[in-house]
Amino acid sequence: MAAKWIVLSVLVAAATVSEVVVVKREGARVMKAPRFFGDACPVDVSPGQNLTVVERRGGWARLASPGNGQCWLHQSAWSDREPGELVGNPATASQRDVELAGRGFTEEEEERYRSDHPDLAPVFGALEDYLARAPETTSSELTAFLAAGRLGGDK
Amino acid sequence: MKRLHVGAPLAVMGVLVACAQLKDLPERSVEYLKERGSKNVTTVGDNAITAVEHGDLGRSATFSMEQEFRLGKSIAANVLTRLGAHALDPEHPVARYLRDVGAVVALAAAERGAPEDRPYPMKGYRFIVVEAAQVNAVGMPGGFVAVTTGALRAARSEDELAAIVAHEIAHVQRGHAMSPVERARQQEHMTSTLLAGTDDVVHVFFSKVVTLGADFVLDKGCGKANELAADAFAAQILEDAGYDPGALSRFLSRLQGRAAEGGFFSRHPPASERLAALGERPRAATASDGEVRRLARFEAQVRELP
Repeated sequence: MAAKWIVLSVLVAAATVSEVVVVKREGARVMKAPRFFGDACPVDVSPGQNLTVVERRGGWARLASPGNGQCWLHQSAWSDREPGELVGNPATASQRDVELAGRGFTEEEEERYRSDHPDLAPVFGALEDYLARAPETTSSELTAFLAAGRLGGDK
Repeated sequence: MKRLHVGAPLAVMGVLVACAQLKDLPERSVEYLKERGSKNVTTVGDNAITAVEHGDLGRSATFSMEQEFRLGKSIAANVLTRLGAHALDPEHPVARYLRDVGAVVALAAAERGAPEDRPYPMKGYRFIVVEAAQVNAVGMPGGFVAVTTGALRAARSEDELAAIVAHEIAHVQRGHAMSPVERARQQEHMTSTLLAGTDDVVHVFFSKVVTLGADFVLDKGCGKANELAADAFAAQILEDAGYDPGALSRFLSRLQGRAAEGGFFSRHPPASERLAALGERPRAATASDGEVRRLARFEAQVRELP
């Protein structure tokens, strides 16, 4: 009998351990239901913010806060992969693949590449301009755009 | 000759940087490729060419999103330079409009995502309007999507513009544009050398794969199977977002036969094949209220084009 209670206690504890995700990008759209094309929650989340998940549904997570348990965030706002993380069939990955994925392709490498190719400077400048001055459409802008075009759930 | 064009940098790099391991690498490389079903494997140089062009090596370990962003930015710089075109100011009304259309499509794509997809780009998508008469659009690693003013003029509605963007986002999200880079890295002789190599060796590899990536997204395309898959995914995204899922078919149907002009059409399978794969998507007899509204704002934006 005692063993049963121990097992039950462990199961309950496991079920109530909350998952925490870290927001990885700006402009994430927090929704009132687990779908992008619907009503947005009037809350914001920021890169680096820790969020406690109380429920998972498909690619969506219901957050403890903000939104008092009533708001959903899609995994595209927090998912990332570490260099070398396995995808597809792990059986085909070698340790070498995993180690190699951690090398190069850094900001320093990009800088070195740019200094080697001064002819690309104007275009790199244009790309920086787009990155700095053309952030993704904000949630409120998107809501208005969808409504005006009868898109999403408002066809 | 076409094979030589793409394979040469890889083969040359193999010779340049693999000296230390060259003695025992060819056989190991052959075995490595054979185990994964490569065909016609003969030499190290051929291995590189075969694997990159035919995609015999499956994805196994991936790059982080920051690595993809760094690589994608350099590929984008190459692609835009090779297009020889000027990017429209990001505050230009048409650039802002493309950003909004792109945001709708990107969210629909993310929601429809599969576990094997690339995660959402680290810095989100950047939709760049390129002043060029050629009808062209390019989706690049890291979430950079370039659309020419020629493509904006060739589209006849917001739904068709969304279809062009959806096809490119499909390539980005499915990792098609990164696959040649990942396959190149998986070449046994390269991975051996890169792991043991100095920063200079890594630098050479970075430069080569930037060129390789730009060649693929701009000239060679992502292969017939990936192109058709991107079309099918695009139609699904359009439907999810509330756009006309037949918009891509309509765009392709109207512009088929323009492959000789290069750009968007030359690196894709023939439009007839793409249309057959997409299937019939009859249009409603009358336009919906949404289509009318979207057409009006699209036409207003096209008038703003320089």
